[in-house]
Order: sequence, then C-alpha cells, then structure tokens
Amino acid sequence: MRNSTLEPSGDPGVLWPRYRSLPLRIRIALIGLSLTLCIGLLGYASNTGQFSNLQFPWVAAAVSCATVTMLWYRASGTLDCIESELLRSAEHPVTLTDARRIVDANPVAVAWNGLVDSAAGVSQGTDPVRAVAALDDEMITMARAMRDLPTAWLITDLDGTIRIAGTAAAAIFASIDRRALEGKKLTELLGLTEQGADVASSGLDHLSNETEAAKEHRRHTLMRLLGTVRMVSLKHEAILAGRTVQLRIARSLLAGRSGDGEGMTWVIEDVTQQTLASKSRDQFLMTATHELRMPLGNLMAYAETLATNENLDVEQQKEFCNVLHSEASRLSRLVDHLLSVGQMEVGSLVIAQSEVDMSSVVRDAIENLRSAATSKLHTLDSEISPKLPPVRGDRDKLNAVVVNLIGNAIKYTAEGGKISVRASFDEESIWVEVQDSGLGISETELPKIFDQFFRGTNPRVIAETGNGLGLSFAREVARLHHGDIDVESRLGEGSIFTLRLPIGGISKSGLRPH
Amino acid sequence: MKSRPTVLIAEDDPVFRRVISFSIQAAGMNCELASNGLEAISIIERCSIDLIITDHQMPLCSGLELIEYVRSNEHLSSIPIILCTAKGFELNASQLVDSHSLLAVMRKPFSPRQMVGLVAAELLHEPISTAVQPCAIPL
Repeated sequence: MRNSTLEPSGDPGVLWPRYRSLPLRIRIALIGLSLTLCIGLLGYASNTGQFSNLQFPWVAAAVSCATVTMLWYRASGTLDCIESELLRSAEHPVTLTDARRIVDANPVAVAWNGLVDSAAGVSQGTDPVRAVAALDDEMITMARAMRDLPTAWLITDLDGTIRIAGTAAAAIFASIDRRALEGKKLTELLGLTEQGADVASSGLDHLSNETEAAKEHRRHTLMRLLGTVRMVSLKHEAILAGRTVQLRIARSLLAGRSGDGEGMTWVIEDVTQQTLASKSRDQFLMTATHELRMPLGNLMAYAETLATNENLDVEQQKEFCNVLHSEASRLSRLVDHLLSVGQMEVGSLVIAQSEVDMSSVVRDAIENLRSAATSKLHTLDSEISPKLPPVRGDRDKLNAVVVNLIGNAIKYTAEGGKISVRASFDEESIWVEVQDSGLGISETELPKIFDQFFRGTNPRVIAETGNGLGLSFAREVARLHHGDIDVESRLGEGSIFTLRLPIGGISKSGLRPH
Repeated sequence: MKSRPTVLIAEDDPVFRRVISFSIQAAGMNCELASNGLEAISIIERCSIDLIITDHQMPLCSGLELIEYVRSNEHLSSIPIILCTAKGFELNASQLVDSHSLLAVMRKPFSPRQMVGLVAAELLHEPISTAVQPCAIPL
C-alpha cells in the first residue's frame, strides 16, 4: 500500500499520493472477503465434502479471517475519513488547515486529530516553534534575505507596535539590535504621538514649544499612517538620535485572511542628503537666474534706448554701444561659468593642454578688472617677475581663476582699499598671490570657503552678489593643473590667496601627453 | 505744482542706473541717484522727491527696507514707489504691491520705455500709451 499511494511526481522533493479508483474501505472489505472464501473453499475441497475432525482448523481459519476483516473494516472507517480529507486538501492546498477532526478513539484518529490541531495552530501564529518549523526552505531563505536588506523595513500591528524589523530599520532608529525594536511603538519612535514628540524633543528647547500648526500636521500624519487606506506614502521630518532627518515613509496594509487588515508593512527611507542637495540646487538655480537677468536687463534697456531715442549724440551712442558690448561679454562669461560648474559637478571639466604664459594671463585679468577697482577707489598694484616660465594648461580657465581671485579681492574690500597681485616662480612652481586689505575671513569659515555654494555669514559679504561657486571652481581648476590654491586670512585684516602651478604643467610628474 | 518732478533712482548696478536715469531725463524729469538704500534715505531726507524707483537687492539697505522706511514715515508715505527686481516668480509681486501700496513691481529684464510711461502717467498726468500698461509682470 505504501508503494501504491506515495510516489514522486514532477516537482522533486514533494510527494503526491496516487489514488486508485476504489476507496480504501471497499478494498479492505474485498480482500478480507476473498481470503475468507478462499480458506473456506480450500478446507471444503481438501476434505472432499465430508465433515470430520480434520475440518476444524479450516473453519477456525476462515472465522478468524472474517473477524480480522471486520476489525479492519471498522478501522478503515477512520482511514477512509483521512483519505477523503487529504484528497480535498490536495486539490486545494490552502484548505489544509481546514481539515476536520475525526470523532473516534483509535490511535490513528487521535494522531490525525493532533496533526489537524497543530496545523490550525500554525496558521494562527500561536505557536512560534511550530511556525518556524512549518516554513519551507524558500520562506526561510526569503526571510534571511529580507532581514539584511539595505532597505529599512518593518512589520507592525495595526496600532503601530513593531513585530519584526530589518537591520537597516534598526540602523535608522540608531538601535544596535533589531530585536530591541520589537514591541516598541513605531509612531512613537517617529515622534508622531504626544509622548513620542515629548521624548524626541526633550533637550531640544526650540521644539518643546511646538506651534499649533505643527501639532495639527503631526496629528494629520499620524491619522494617515494608521488609517485604513491600503497604501500610504509621505514625507516626514523627525528627530532621531538628536539629529533632524527627512524620512520618506511608505506603508501598506497586510491583508488578513478574511479581508481585514492584520498588520502593516513599512519601508522607511532617510532622504536627508537628497533633500539638502536638491535645496542647494534650487538655491543655485535661483542665484543663477538672478545673475543672468542683470546683464539681460541691461542689454534690453540699452538696446531699446539706443533704438528709440533719436536725439542721441555720437558720444552717447558710443557709450551705449560699449555698454552693450561689455554686458554681452559679462553674460557670456556667466554662461561659461555656469557650464563649468555643471561640468565640475559631473567631474568632466576638460582642461586644454597648451603652453600658457601666466604673466599675460595675470596682466589681462588686471586690465579686465581695472575699471571695477577704480570705481571702488581701490589701488590695484601688480608685480610680475620677468621671464616667468610657461605652464601647460588651459588659458581661458586659468584666466577665469585669476579674474575670480582679483574680483573677490575687489568685491570684499571696503572702498579705498589696497590690492596687490604678485607673480613669481621658483624651480618647480609659479606663484600668483592676490593680497587685499579687505574684510578677511574668520577662522571658523576659513576651511569652508572652497566648498560649493558656501558664502560667508558676514553681512558685508551677503550684501555682495555671488553664488558661492567661484572659489570652488578656482581650486578645482588649479588641482586639475596639478597645482592648488591656498589662503591666509584674518578677520578684519585682509586675505592672501596663493595660486600655485607647476612649471611646464604636468611634465614633472611624467604624465605629459606627447 | 513744480514744473519738473524729481525721481529718485536707487540701484546698485551703475550700468542700469545710468540707462534708467537717462530715460527719465529724456522724458523731461529730474533724477537723483543712489547706489544703495542708505544713500537713498539720506537723499529723501534732503530733497523733495516725487517718485522712487528702487531695486530689490542692494547692499547695506535693501529696496524693501527702503520702502518700509518711506511708508512708515508720515510725510513721505504718499510717495509712489516702483520696485525693480531681478527675482523671478518666487517673489509674490501682487502681494507686495498690495501690502506696500506700490505703483508697480517690474521684473528684469524690462523695457525702460514702459517704466518711463508709468512714471510719466503718475507725475506728468500723461495718458498711458496703449503699448504701455501698468502691470506687475512686464511684457
């Protein structure tokens, strides 16, 4: 019987019973009946129809055979029930736990009832040992993979009590062990409940007097997250481990068997860095458009004035045309600058390789900015060593760097200041120094001035237009030439910016192309 | 009534200040020039001004600070003001016009002819030509 009922089918590792057409019960009855008949007939035939003492063992054998068959038949009632239940379950695997108990006292029935009970227990999650045992290999592998996913996921009850959490979720909540999170309220950890907010803000005074609007917003967020909408995705600012973080929270209801929600799955993502980055990009875009509108406005105003005023004398016409020209070149410089910033962002700033005479670069830069310096009543001195050896690199970008350094000196020095530009060299490098008698930079801000988008906090600095990109661009260009820019400065005493470029460009390091 | 009204131009960009003052003078009005809000305030204190054209972002004292100063000052509060700005749509122009009772907010780049039209309509009571409408968003 064992051979006939259980045989491997298509799926290895799973045994599907193969059923004969006749039910078990009938088969047992037939076997017993035929055995009894065979023994009875054999006994009758061996005694040639005569009744004697020799017949007794045959009759006894036939009777015991019939008795055993009847006992079997009775036990087969239980087996029959099990068989029909198994058949039903085999057709609909999900109904395995719905298998019915058998009302009988024999060991087979008792064992079956035990099996049915434990299966029901697994489905209700009342017996965790059974639960793990009931998971098949695939489920266990999946659970292992889930646990250490880099995504912060949690599974909670409908009221937000954490049941299971992944390691990444533990990291977000600054919890060393993910098991430490189990049983805690997620909404409290996120600072969404009243007590949670108090805990999160304790020690942070500016939050303890939370505004009504913020409270209302918090309540609304809480309601959405614990509501009955199947999928909720929102952004939330929370304080985790004393740090303000921007979180993107997605949660979905886990459907229960009867259609009710049984729990919630949460995926939480820390998007603080992305938020900061997009904020600074927005800021940059706004500054950039502002900077672009200034020369555009001038171009438009002068062009229109030239076109519509008939009684302009030649001098005025000349003046206006000069303004148009200088504003157009200001605009083109600005566009170049913006493009360089874009290239710098993606790390594809290309440096041309040609021989550059730095003395002419410095002289050009000074001439470019002479008028700006005079309008602020600065004295602009220069001291350029004769026979400055050439460097290898990108003339336009180096020019932009020197213009930037001198421009900053003019911009951030009060009227009537003194600005000196010196260009000198030693065996290895060319040095271009720009010294001003300006505002200077405080010690705390000094390390940050080469950062993109950084602008000083001094009100005099804020008063000037700027996008906080010039110095970061300048240093990037210097470094691409295998040089660098350094700064010495003291608040109120002016600054010295030094650009160092290796003589002959990158030839010293043996990397000179051709 | 004075024959030639005086317009104060507060603008930090000398290039733009020059063209605006040129256009105003060409339209037959006088000009006083300031490169920041503080200078503008000292000029307002000194001479009688009929209209103020001010930039939004200026060093030392911004256009808005200047406007608030003028509006809070009793004998100056009725001076019409035009605010120029290089800011885009992040600036709520119509709200600014209402809250500070401005004549107009002009976004750069704008046409100086349009601005002069506005000023002339206000000070010389010339009819505004059809091409020039007072509006918060030029063009």
